[in-house]
Amino acid sequence: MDVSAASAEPASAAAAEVAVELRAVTKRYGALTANDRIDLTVRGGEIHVLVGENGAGKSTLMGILSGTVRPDAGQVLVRGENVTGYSPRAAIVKGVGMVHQHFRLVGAFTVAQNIALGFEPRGRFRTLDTAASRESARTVSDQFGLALDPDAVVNDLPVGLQQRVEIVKTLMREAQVLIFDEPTAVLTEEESAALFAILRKLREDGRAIIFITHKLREALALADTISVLRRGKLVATRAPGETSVAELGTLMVGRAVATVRQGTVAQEAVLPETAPSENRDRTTASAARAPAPGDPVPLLAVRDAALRPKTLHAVPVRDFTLEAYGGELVSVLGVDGNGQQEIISLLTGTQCPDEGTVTVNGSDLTGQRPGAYLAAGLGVVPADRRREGLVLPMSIARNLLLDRRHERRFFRARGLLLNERAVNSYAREMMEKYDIRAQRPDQPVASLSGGNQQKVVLARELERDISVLVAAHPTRGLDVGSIEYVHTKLLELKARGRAVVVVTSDLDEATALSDVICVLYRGAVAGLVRPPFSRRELGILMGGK
Amino acid sequence: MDAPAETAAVTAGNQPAGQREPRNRFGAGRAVSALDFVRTGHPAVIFVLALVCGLIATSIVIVVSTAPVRSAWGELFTAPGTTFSVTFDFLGSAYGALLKGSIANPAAFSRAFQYPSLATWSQAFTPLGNTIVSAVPLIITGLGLSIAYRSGAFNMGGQSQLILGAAAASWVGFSFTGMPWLPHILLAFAAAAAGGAIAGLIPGVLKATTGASEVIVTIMLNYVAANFLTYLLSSTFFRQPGSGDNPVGRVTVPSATLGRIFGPDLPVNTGFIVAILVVIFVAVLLNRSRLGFEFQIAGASRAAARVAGIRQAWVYIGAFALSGAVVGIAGGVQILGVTQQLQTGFGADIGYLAILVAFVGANRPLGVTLAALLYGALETGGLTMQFDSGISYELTSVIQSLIVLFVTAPALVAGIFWLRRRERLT
Repeated sequence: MDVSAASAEPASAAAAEVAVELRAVTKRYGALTANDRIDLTVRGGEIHVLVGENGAGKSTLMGILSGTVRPDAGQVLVRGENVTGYSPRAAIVKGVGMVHQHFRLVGAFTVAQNIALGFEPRGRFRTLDTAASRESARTVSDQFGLALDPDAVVNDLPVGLQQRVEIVKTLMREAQVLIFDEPTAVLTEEESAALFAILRKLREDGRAIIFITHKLREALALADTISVLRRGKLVATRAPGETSVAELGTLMVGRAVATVRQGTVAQEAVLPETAPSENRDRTTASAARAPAPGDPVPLLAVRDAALRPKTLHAVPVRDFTLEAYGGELVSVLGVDGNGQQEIISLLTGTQCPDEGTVTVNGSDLTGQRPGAYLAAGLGVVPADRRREGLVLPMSIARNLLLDRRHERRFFRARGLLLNERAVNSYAREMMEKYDIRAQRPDQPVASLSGGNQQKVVLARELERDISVLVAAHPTRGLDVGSIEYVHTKLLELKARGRAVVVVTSDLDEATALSDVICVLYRGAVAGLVRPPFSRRELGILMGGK
Repeated sequence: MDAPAETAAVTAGNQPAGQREPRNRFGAGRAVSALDFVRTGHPAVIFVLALVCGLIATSIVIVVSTAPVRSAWGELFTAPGTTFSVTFDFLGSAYGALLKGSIANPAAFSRAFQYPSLATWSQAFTPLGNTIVSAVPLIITGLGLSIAYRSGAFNMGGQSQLILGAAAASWVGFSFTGMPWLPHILLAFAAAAAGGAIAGLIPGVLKATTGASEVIVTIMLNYVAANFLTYLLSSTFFRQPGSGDNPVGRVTVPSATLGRIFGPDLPVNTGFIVAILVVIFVAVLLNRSRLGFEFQIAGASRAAARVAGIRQAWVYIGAFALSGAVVGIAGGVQILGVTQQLQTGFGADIGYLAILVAFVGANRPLGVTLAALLYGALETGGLTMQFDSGISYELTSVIQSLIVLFVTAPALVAGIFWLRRRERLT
């Protein structure tokens, strides 16, 4: 590793105590090296920002630091003490606290109760001293200017305040090292600004802060030091003054472009600083483009859709317009948590947009049930194949029929009874055709590997008579061979004149497959990009301009 | 079939008839030795071992609660031989009586061989007949409930569905006079199914439209139905004229009576045939039909059902209606085949026992049938046990409960017998 943390460290913190030091930390999961000999030093009074793509190894690294992941090699030092492989509980004792992306709060409890949870102050007779926990909650929140009402019920609070509860909870345990896992992903602009003010206050207090983010501008604005992770390696450590969004973006996605089938990825080119406005021009130009000749009607179209959040962590969708024509593969690309879930539910009819329309194959299906979408010729590869795509205890043969229950060939007695022989021989045929590695069609899909499970879903959807396929994260969690296979199948479908919409957070996947990439940021279209794709430009759009 | 025969035989014990799924349980599909089969803790193996655990635990209860045996244990150190012989003699006679009362009495059999006649043979088979008679309503009710359970609907309303089914069948049975036997019986069963379905539809529709917890609604409806039955019997035309403080219903006419299959001396009635038909119906519904397939998708994964375009609301309504209809038929069998008239308190014991039967039988047609036969055997054998050994009849419910306890805790049984942990599929 050619990077020395000391060279990038801010002058003001030079004298400060080293709070955390990672030495050549390595973690492997099977063939995948999630962390490859990572060295990292964070001092008290320093905000150290960690950037990297999904799967770059950020979460594993923070898991090692907070005690939930045990490293295979290397050392973890907290204030000079070797604590390698300690437990999450020991981490709290050593003063390492983590503010999770998805808060670990009890929604029905009050703020004070949540803060006291696990470390409840006791009164006489070992009863809970509620007055004391209220008081200490108030003291700590006032100390850092984190205005909070101790008696408010957490479920009633907006997300930004819930995060404050989480922060106060960590501070109550005297954490000297605070880890924030993508804290701004769920916050509004104003809430983010308030969070930054809090973080600066904590820095003045001499705490060490590790901040994980995808958003490069945010990193530059906040950090004392920025470290970039790519594919498990720490590729660079920079001071914010000596780097730029462009450089960080390049470092993050890497110069080496993965092998792609369509050859649509452009050479990396340094864009001028006007890149964002240029993108905006592209957006309007693409959105207003004329329909492709011979395909006057888009096979799947969402127009001006808006969706208000119905649950706590839902992302509001605004002005979302997407059209997919026959023979076209459209990707919806974005960092996780920017509204993919909601877009998928709009496209497949599981949620009805509050405004706007959804049409499949030219017929307006706004407000109809998922069954109507399927009947209109929509195929769905759901995001969570184990939960939504398959019924795990059921056989491969039955899983191949889940949404094909109205096809006569599989039934007899006027559709009342399954034709077991037809179903099984069909399943055998599909196992052959889609290379599903299993012994028998009647074995439960739960016994298959992830790649083979996805092939069952693909076989089911691609063999149906569909005109458009919505594939959500179709290769998530699959090995390289299976990814290759899924991509080939998607491109084949496109070549057959069908429309394909891929919702993904994988930049490589989007650039390798797409004819159009619709970049999603906070529930809205940040840009519609056509080939040649620039990874850097896409990265900037994904990170929010 | 690449598994050894004994594997297949034991496996089939917990599987619906005609289904080929037993082999699935071993994902790899390789031939497994019988020992491996036992050690991997197949549900059927767990069930048998749970039965063993239940009997051992019951033996301890018997030893502790029986005075002569207890005092023999006081001499454990002075006369250990006496202690053990007294204990085993007593347990032997108790369990012997249980078997005699529920399956067969060897003495009756030898008499039947010596003096073969319809009467002596009937007597020899009477214990088994009694077991079947008490198992029949449990089989039908348990299967009805398992339709709901496999569809993800927690139907605790066996009692209310039994009552409405029985009331409807009873009404057809006593008020439609002058009909030939078969049409009358079929009409009575149609009424029973309709009554049960109505009782099932109330929680089903409430769940589907308002999201009301079906567990609470069905349990509360049980109380409503029980009191509705008391009202019917005390203040309406259902009441048998001349019945006193403990009102009973009017007696069904002979054309609406389920006769005895094997002659007048053996208590087995045509309800047994109804039960067999119900087993076949439920097996086909769950394993072969499109409706059952859709129900089970919704029951196994609500998310997958939604993506596949199955409407959860209709699944709740349909599953509850079907489940209630089948349970209602059980109510009809009891009225037309056993009691001939309604009584207050009807359905409470069967309604709740059937929940356990469905559970112990893993909601599978053959499993539920076997579990119901076991429970029926304990019910009838318990009486003989009390008569022969003076052990309280209540002890049979202790055995029943202990078996449920061990069956519901497969990890406990696996731990006791050092079985390997099975990889969970879900």
